[in-house]
Amino acid sequence: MADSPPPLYRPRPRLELRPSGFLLDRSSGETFTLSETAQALFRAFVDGTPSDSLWQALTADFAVDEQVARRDAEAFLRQLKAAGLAREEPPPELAAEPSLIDPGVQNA
Amino acid sequence: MREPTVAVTGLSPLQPGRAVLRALREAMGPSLRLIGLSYDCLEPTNYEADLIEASYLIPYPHQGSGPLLDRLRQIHSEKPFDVIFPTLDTELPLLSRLEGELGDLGVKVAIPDAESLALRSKARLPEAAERAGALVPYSRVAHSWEQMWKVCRDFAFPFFVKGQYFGATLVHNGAAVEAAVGRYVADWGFPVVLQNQVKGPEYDVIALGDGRGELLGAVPMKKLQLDDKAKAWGGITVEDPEMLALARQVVSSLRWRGILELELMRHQESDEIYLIEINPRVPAWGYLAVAAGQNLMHAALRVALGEEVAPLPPYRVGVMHARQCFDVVCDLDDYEALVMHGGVDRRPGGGRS
Repeated sequence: MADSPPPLYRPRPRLELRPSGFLLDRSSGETFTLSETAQALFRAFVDGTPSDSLWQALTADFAVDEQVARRDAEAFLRQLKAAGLAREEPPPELAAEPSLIDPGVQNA
Repeated sequence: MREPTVAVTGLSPLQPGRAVLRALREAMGPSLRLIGLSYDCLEPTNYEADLIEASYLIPYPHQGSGPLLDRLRQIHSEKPFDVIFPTLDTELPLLSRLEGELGDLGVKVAIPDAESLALRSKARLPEAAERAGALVPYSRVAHSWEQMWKVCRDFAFPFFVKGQYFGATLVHNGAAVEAAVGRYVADWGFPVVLQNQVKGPEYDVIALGDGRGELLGAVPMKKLQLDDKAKAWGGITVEDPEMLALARQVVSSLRWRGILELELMRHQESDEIYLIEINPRVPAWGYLAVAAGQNLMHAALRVALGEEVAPLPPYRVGVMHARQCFDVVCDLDDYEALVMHGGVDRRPGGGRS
């Protein structure tokens, strides 16, 4: 059976990231601090980079290999979700697998 | 046209009077004449000469409208004022009843009309919420101990017990219910309100209505820190179109004149907004709205004076405040005047009342 695809995330609206890494959620009034790498991920995320491609924001600007970048991007998105700054999107429907049931056979 | 003279109540620490005085002074400058109406000689704002030029003692609300009217007439005869800007819940019903007599003196009162005031009471919150299309937690009103114990059975712990004017206690058992109800009945009498708890973050909105159904301004804020009574000790303005829409609905449905405060909870699971209280006056944190660009108190004064007031410009999001306590140095001569004569007037040639 194929592995489940990783969840997709969408940023919540009204998030304001300042150059220092200080983040204000304008809706809730909550504030957060982001490290340099988190800032790079966050900017790419709110700029529309799909969450499953977000790791590329790390490999583009930091000396990190793809495996670590993927792992860190996924952890970042989970943190955003836990902090209420991102929502999980329902995964796209999987393509239907060929049926093993003879279409001529009907349930009674 | 001369600036009005405005009399403001609520001069104790943590009461909203100081926020109103600051806001009016900021909007109208040193030419605005502000006087304090005080319940105790040791209310510190009595002594802030840069804010108020005079201060006068008035009777406590529980003494009734007769003594209050007599005293206001006396003060007015010596120090004429044009507007009373009350800031405490217990004053509002009295001043509402006296609006006509005060009008005969040429004094306007910055309060909503009597019907709106009654409708927004804690006991009638579900009715007000229904008019505004707002969600409200399940609530029951008790007018006696016997009734209270009966309706108590409708609730699962923990839930809130609220006094009719002030106070809310989260109770976890019967003994706590009895203590809370006892306290509120001792302070304010019956009824008390029992209300389900809504779990989630709390927000407050200060809003201004023109009395004809239009919202002139509104600023929502999230509390950042609380005092031991769960009152805001610091907050930040937030961006929330749903809360602004709710403020608009409440002001419109109640045809609210003046300032009110909405206490809201955002349900932590459903994200729905619940209206938990409507306070019919400026909240103690109200200056935050001024700092965010909406001087609602100045606009409320103009509404009370019968002026046409346009909706205020949008407020700034992310404006924070943190409450400070500081000591006010009291001039002994001022204290003597308040104690011995019930009033102090610091203007040159000003006397004692």
